[in-house]
Parts: sequence; structure tokens; C-alpha cells
Amino acid sequence: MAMQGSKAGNILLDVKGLKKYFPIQKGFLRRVVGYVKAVDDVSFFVREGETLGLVGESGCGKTTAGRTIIRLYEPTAGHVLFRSRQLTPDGSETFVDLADLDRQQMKKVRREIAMIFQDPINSLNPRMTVGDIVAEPMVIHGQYRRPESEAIIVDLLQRVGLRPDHLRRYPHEFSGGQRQRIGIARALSLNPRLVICDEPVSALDVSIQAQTLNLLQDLQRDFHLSYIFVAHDLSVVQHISDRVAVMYVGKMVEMADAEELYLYPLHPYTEALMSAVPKADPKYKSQRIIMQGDVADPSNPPPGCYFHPRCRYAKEICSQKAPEFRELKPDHFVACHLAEELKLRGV
Amino acid sequence: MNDNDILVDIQDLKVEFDVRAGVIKAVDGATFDIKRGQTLGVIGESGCGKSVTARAILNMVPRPGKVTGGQVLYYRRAKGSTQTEVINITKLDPDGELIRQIRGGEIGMIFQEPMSSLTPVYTAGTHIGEAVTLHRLIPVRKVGDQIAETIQAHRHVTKQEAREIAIEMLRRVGIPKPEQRVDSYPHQLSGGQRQRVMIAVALSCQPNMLIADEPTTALDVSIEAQILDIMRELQESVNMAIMFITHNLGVIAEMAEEIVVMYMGKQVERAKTIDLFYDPKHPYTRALLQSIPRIGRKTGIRLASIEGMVPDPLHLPTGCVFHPRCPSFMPGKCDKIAPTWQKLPGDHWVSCLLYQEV
Repeated sequence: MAMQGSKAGNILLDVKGLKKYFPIQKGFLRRVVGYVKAVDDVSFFVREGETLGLVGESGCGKTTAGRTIIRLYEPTAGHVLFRSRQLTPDGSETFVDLADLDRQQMKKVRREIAMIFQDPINSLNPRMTVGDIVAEPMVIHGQYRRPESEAIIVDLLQRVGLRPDHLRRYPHEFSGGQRQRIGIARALSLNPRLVICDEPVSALDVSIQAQTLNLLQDLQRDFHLSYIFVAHDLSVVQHISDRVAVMYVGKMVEMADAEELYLYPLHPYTEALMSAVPKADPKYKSQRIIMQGDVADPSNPPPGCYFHPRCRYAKEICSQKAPEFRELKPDHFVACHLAEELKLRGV
Repeated sequence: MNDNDILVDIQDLKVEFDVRAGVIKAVDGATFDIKRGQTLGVIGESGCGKSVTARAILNMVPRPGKVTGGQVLYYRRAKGSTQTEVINITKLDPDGELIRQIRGGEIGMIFQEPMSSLTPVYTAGTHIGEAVTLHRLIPVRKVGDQIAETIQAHRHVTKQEAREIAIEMLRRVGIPKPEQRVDSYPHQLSGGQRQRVMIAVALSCQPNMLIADEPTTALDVSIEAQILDIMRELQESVNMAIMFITHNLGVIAEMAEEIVVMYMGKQVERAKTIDLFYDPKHPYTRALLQSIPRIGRKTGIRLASIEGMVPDPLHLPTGCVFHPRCPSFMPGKCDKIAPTWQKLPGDHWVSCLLYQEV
């Protein structure tokens, strides 16, 4: 597969033009009267061993994007190229398009991609013991062998900071932070290469959040994992991510190295979003950019650039032509007509 | 600042919940005051007692909770007058006329995202109509009518005047086209707009104090920024005190002048915001400040984290409740002796044996 310029490197996942439209149905005959463009022509990639943060306001499509990648939602269009080891007879790596795979193939590839969910209470079956929860992926994929697998599970539990005797307990006996650890152990039970973390720490208390973030980083190093880290908390995302992608109303607006993006944003939306984050420093004089109006309606977005009605730099072209998502600087992608001329402020 | 400026004085407040498995001390000896026009921040993790303290101020501790000690004094002053009347809120009948005038009328409140708030808490017999205007929007009624009703309950105005005030309030909290929006139903508004409506409800009676319990937690940062700005603006224009409860250290740094830190029902530290952030005394406060990722230049690889879990409230550790997780734990002292509330130089208060001769 040919890669252009700086994009080369150990690409593990390459998403191209991904779309997920949800139909809006009305009336008795459930006629389709329109579409919510939850994910609308989104392209990004994840390198092996890195963390890509995916941020944006609620409803911007970041969670949908994560779920469409592993086909929890069927993509409407686009390609999801993943470097898989599961579909070749000798286990060598080859790029497969997840959007094209049939059920059987997809099930195989799913071993390599795991998911961690936001809500540590509802994402665990209350009637299963911790041991069964962690073992379930192995059972589903026919990899459960009695003595060995049990040893693996005990090992995993210890690795995420739980005790072997927790194996026979039920989820309700644990605190929120511990439950999230159970979810992490389950995600790792098939030894995945890519983990999609959907708001994994936003339901946790501050002190537990730090423990969990540290754990995720340790596991990434030890198991050589790649993460897609979906979250709305910009400071958490900056802390854990190597690169960050920003979404707005189903579109990708900017993607760059984490520090580069936070210090030298190229998109006015990124700038405004960063400026709105309250700083934990009472001496800091806030210079917030207040965005006018509300987030655009994804079923009826404005013409041109979706952000133009709220953008303080908008010019005529912005309401007429949709900007292209392009690589302006090496490894710094942006979708803005004015990116070259604007001097934006970082955090 | 003299004592004349004190609006609410909380003295050694204790709230207990008698549940089947035992007694939970939700608030244990809270002692602080809120001054007129000032913003007091209360921070702590879930279950630390910050919301229960707020409800005790309004004499609406949810069952089976009970105030078992201490008192909440409210220094009531009619608008424009200098005469102060002292009311002991904890002694009032929770359904009485007086407390209902104070609730909503003189002390307003906003809670987390109003339509989806998980456990709306009612005291026994609180009139539903009142509870509704206090906590949440009724889904089937126009927002304007709901605001107007609150106004009429606490101010002597006609229906038409109340509606005009409601429109004016909606305009002030930044709702576009308030003349039309006044007739919309809560579900027609976005989450951020609903929270702004709740602020409009809370502020429509020009309260002396606003209790804001995690008012922006469920909102996106851009909406949060708008709401915080609105609250500050309105505070300046009517000299209102705010008790701002949150677990978000960034929000509290921006909003509060003084901060109380709570842990497992106990207040562990109180100081001016700047002192608390730059010179925290209690090991819990220090750990909390170090454990948050900060936006800006990337610094460390790992976050400092507080070891262990929050203890079971039914089986609190002996001595200082924080000692099993404390990096400065002194064996033989912290696990045996409960620290007392100590004043340090510069109006800085702390409850820790590191600062106490024992």
C-alpha cells in the first residue's frame, strides 16, 4: 500500500472517507425523510504502539466513529484498512478492509481489536462472575482451555491491579474504578493490538482517574498496544495521546501531534475549544473565546464549512465551499480555508 | 471582612444516614461560613458529603438522612435594610412557611443537568409544585410558565409581570429569541439551554445566595464556559453569594474565592483559592492537585495518583480517615488520633496531625 509523505511509518489502522449516516424515519410506513450524518467523510490513521486521541463536543460523532471501525455500526461508506495477522494462513501481516469483510472474517479480526466502555456499571453483566466476564471473549473465540486460560485470567487480573480471589465475585461488589479495571482486563484477554477506549475515565473520580490513566499507559508499554482514546476532556486527552484528532459535527477538522495541536492549533474550532477549558490555576487570566450559537444540527448542517456560523474568522468562501482535510505541515492535518493566514492561539 | 458580611454560618454540622447496614456519617463536623457576595467552592470526590451539606443548608436532607448535630444559621436581611435577623435553619419545620420562603426565594439552587438528574431528592411532604421549581423542569409544561410561577411564589407581581420578568431572565442567561423561547417545552431545548433555564429560574427571585451543585458537569466545555460567565456576571450585578460544589479543579480555580476540601464527610482543609492551589497543606489536597492532568505543555509521563480506594463509609478507618491512603502517614499517630480543625497563619485551616502537637 502506497503511503504519501510523512504518513508512512508503522500504520496499523488507516481510515479513509468513513461515513455513518443514521436514517430519520417518519410516519406509519417509516419512510426515510433524511439522514443524521453522524460521521461524514472522516479520515485518520493510527500508528502501531501509539495513542490517537479523538476529541470533540457531545454529538460530534467521535463515539460513532470508534464503533463504526469495529462494525458495531455498519459503515455507510468508506474504507477501514487494518493490518491484520488473522486472515493469512501463516499469520503474516496484511492490510484488510474491515468495511468489506464478511461475518466470519470480521469475527477473526475482532480478536485483534478490543473496546473499553465509558460506563463501568452497565458494561458488565451483573450475573456473571469477574472470572467469567474476563474469560468470555476467549470462550466466544474458542480459545478457552481450562487450566491455561484460568492462569492467564488470574495473571490479567493482577496486571490490572485486582486480586486473584476477586475471580469468583460479582461486579456489584466492586467500586467504579475497580469495575473499569475488570473491563480493561476483559478487553486484554485476547491479546489485542488495537484498543478503542470510549471515555474510559470520565465516569471516575479524580484520584481513581489518575490510577486508571497510569494503568492504561503501563499496559500499552507492556503489551505493545495501540489506543484510540475517545474523550471529551481535553486535558486527559493531551496527557495520554501521542497525536490528537478533533471532530466537529461528524467531520474531522484537525489532526496533529498532541503538543503541536495544543500549542499551535490551525483550526479556529480547536482554538476556541482549547480556550474554553478551565485551567486549574487561580492566577491564570482566562481569555476565553466564546463560540456564538449552538452546535450545528448534523441532519441539517450549514453549507460550506460546518463551523462557519460560529467562527469568528469566517469569510465569504467559508459559507460556500466545504474545506478539504489536508496536510498543511508535516503530520499536521487541517480542514480550514484560512489555515495559512490565521495566527491562532494555543493553550 | 467583618462578621456583618456573613450570610450563612455552618457550625459543627453532622448529618447521618441510618441505613440497614449501619449508620453512615455523611457530614461530620462541617464548620464554615459563606459571606455576602462571595463565592465559596466545595470540592471533593463522590460520597464526600458535599451535596448533603448543601441540602442541609436548605433543610432538605433526603431520607433516611438526619441532621444529628450542629446548626446552620442564616443571617436574613431584607433588601436595602441593615437589620439582620438570625434564623436557625436546622430548627425549622422542613415543610413550614418560613423555610419555603427561603428556599428558592432567598437561597436559590441549581443542580446537575436538570432533566436527566438521576435522583431528584424530596423531603417528606415537600409540595411537588415547589420541589419541581426547585430541582427540575417539568417536561410537559412551557418553560416560561415554570419560571413565572416561581417568581409569583416569591414576589408580589401579576401574572403578566411575571412573564415579562421570565423573558428578561431568559435574555440575560443568553437564550436566543427569549420572546419565543418562553413558550417552548423543556425537551425542545438543548442540554445547555435547559441548564441556562434552570439558572434563570434560580435567579429570577434575586436570591441572596445560589447553591450550585455540579452545575456544569454534564455539559461540554464550550457551554460550560458560557454558563460560568453568566453566573459571574449575574453575581456581580446583584451581589449574590455562591456556594459552588464541584469535583472539577479547573472550574473551582476560576470561580471560587475561598475553597473547602472535603473527604469522607469531613472537611480537611479550607483556604483562599490562591493559597490552596499554591500552598496546599493537607496531604489529600496535595495529592488531588497533583493527580489531575493539566492542559498546556506536556510535563511528566505519569500522573501522581492517590493509592488505594475510597474507604467503605460504614467502616471508616480509625484516627484520621485519610491515613490508609496518605503518603505522610505517621504510624502510631494517624491511625489512633483523629485530627482536629487547626488554624494556620493567613486564615488557612487544616485538619491534619502534621500541623498539630500531639
